Amino acid sequence: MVDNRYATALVIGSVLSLLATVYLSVAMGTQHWYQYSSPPVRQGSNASELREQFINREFDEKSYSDSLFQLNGTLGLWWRCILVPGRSHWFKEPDPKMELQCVSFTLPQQFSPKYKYHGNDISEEDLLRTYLWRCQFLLPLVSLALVFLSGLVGVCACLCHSFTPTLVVGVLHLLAGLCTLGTVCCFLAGLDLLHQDSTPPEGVDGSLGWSLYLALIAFPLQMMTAALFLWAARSHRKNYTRMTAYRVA
Amino acid sequence: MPGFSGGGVGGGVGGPASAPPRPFRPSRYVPVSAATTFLVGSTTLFFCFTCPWLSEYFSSVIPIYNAVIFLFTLANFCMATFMDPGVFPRAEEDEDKEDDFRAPLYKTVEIKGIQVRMKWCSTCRFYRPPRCSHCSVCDNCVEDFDHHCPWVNNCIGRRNYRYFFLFLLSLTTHIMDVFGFGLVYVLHHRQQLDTPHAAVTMAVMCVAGLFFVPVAGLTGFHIVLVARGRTTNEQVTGKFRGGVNPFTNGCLRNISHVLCSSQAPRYMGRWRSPQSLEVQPPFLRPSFTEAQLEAKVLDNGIQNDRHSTRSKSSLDPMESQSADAEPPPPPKPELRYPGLPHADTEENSLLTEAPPTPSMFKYRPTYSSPGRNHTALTHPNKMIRGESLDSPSPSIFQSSRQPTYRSEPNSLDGATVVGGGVGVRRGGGERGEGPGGPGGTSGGVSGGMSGYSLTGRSYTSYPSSLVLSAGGSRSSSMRSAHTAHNPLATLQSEGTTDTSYKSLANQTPRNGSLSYDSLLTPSESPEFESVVSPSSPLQGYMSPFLSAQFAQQREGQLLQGSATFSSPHRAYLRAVSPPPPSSTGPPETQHLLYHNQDSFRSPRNLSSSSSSPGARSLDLFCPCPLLTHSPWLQMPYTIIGREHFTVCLCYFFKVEPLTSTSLFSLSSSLLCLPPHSSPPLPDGCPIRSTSRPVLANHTMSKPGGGVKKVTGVGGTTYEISV
Repeated sequence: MVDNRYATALVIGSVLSLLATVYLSVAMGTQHWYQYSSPPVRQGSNASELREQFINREFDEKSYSDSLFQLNGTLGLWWRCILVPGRSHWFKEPDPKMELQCVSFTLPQQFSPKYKYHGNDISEEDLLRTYLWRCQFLLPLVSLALVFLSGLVGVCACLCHSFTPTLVVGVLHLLAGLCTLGTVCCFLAGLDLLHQDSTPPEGVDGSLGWSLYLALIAFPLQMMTAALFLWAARSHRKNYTRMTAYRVA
Repeated sequence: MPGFSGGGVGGGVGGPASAPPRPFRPSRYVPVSAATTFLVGSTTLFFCFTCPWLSEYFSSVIPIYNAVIFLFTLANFCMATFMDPGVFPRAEEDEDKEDDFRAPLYKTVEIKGIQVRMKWCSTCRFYRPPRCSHCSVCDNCVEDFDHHCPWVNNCIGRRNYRYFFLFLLSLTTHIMDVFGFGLVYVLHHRQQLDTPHAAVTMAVMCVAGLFFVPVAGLTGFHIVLVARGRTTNEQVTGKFRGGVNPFTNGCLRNISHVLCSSQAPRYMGRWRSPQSLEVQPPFLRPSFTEAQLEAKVLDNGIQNDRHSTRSKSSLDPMESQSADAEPPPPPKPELRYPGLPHADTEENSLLTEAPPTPSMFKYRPTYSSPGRNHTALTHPNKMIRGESLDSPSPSIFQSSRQPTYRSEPNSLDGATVVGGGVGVRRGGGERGEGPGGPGGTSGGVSGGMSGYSLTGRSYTSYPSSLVLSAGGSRSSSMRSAHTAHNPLATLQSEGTTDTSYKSLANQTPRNGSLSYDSLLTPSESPEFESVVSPSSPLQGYMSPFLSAQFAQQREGQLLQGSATFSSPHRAYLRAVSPPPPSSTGPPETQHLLYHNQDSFRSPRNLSSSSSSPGARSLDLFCPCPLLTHSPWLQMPYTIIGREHFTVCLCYFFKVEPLTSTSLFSLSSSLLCLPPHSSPPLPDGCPIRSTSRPVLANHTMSKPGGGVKKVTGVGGTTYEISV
């Protein structure tokens, strides 16, 4: 009976950990962390120019930010996308079909520094935004690595028929949860600073996406996993000590 | 991967935890995994994809409400899963091995007047309490066993049933909320169903709908069971289907019992309680031992008392034997003697027999060690011990013994007279204690400790015998008979005197004139022997007489009686010869009164008898004839009356010892005077009023007495001539 409850705790903890890992992976791979909604009036005037600028020109945060603001852009950790009408023919249709065009952040681009903007002049480097950006794309990787390590430790414990590593698994999941929470905090902080420097034009609204929510919900799942593993390890140790004493007596 | 590893870890860990390692069965953990996945997964997706729009479009309260319901559901789920359902610990194999074989399968117990069977559990080795059942999956007996739920992978028993019930209620509510709000979202986005939000929402609605039907059904079933106060196990097995359920207390009370009663205690994880039980015995045992010690002490005390009594009885001869060696110890046990006889009469009788022998032993040592000084000291002590009346008595005893034997045919009259005399002697003895005490002390100071101890012992023995003799008249008569036997033994112990007395005793039944003559002749021979013997033998010869006096009160009394009869006999014969025929026919009552009057007159008779033989005794015992003729004796005799005569005698004999002793003796003698003075007052009146009846009594006894006494007179005349 005693072992059955502890085994059940480990099973439930494992299930929750698996769910959290899936959610975090999906959130990290999608671009729906933050999304902008632009009025349709402006689309006609600068659509083609902004599109060419978003796709062809060199990497510049200022330029692609303007494109995102005016073309219903969505921003993620590794992707940025805009919503533009399809190729125009010789005659214009009244209701053009909108298509999504995405551009990924390359690894060097992830580590490129961020600058403060005053009008159109380039000013000094913004260290805070630079490090926040770097943390927000590295922490999810650390979290996933920790969870993977926990899995390895669990497999070894199972093979060795030892209950002690359960404590290690719990601690690792606790750290992973903290990393996940850190990711969400860094993203929100960085985005807020960006909007302070380059204010979106009037009529453009921004909102959080479902990817951010998935990442946010992964945090409590990992916390619950850590709690279950730690409880099972501690209780089993206590009970084992008592049973040993009982046998000795 | 983590799930599989977790399951493996659980299985592996399970082995060492319990004594019988079980193989890990993944199939047992599938339901709980599925339940967790669907519950947590669906809810989290609902929060991510549906709640943002709901909070923006309607209000932010909706996500908070759903979050609260979800947390409550999750908490109850965890409690139902990880709480001990109320497992009973198994009985140890060593304890119940025998009971297992001989125990019957069922045992009936009455609950609220209803018979409920308790089944023997062979695995756990005890009778299962009512509503308790053995779960084959968990392999344990669970209290108030409801069912084993695979979705929580745990038994539902008394301790965790409420959490399971609340889990069902909250889960049903949660499913309805999720499905409802999902439906609202879908209806508002009918034209945009291709978006990921709509897709996820519809998937969540499908899962919720699939689980709602069984969960709601199960919830309804348990609501009915709770209301009826039954368990699933009882419902499924139909245990109380035919009869009345003794465990139901009404609908509302059943519900409150399930939801609001206090948490049932846990039986498995309580290692501390046996430890505390182990700790208590050391504290409980001392208290019991103290009680036992108290009981033992009481028993020991009782036994000690008995031993002390035995030791006292056994030590008596030892003390007497060791008297010479260790004088100081004797006084302590002697003090205890007077207390014991008052407690028990049998002990008194034993003591009466015991005291005489030590007194004899005491006297013999003195005889064995006859120093001049000691002899001188002992002599006055003996005189002091004996009263002034008794001091001249040896000659009286010798002279009167012959008439006593002759007067034996008048045993009845003698007995009555002896009774009265006994009373008088008792008083005398008690008075004697006073002078004996100071005399003894003075002797001890002058002579030594041995003398003191001897004297002390002798005096302690006297009061005990006197007190014993103080019993009822009949008992006194019986005891007097015993005392009569004792003096015979003492007489037999001695050589020549023994033979002489034996001959006297043997010759008395003959009652012939020749016997009288033979009695006269042997009486003269011992007197000559006593006179001729040296001083030390005289003292030795004196000691048995003194002991005989104290032991033979009866004989002494008889002697005095005979003396009194002899002296008034002569006077009354001459004066009152004519009246006897008139008083020959008095009634019995008058006889009793006359006897009483005689008893009243006895002290005066004694005094008168002492006066007449006093001179004779002086002649016999005084070593110096000059003193007898000295003016001292003549002058006080003439000046002072009968009462004062005793004082003169004491003064005369005590001139020899020191002045201090004489002073003490004079004071003691003065103290003795009052009892002498008191008797004459009441006797004066009866004498004057009843002079004639007394004379009549004497006349009645005169003829036989006259004949004998005539011969006695002849005997006395012979003594005078000698």
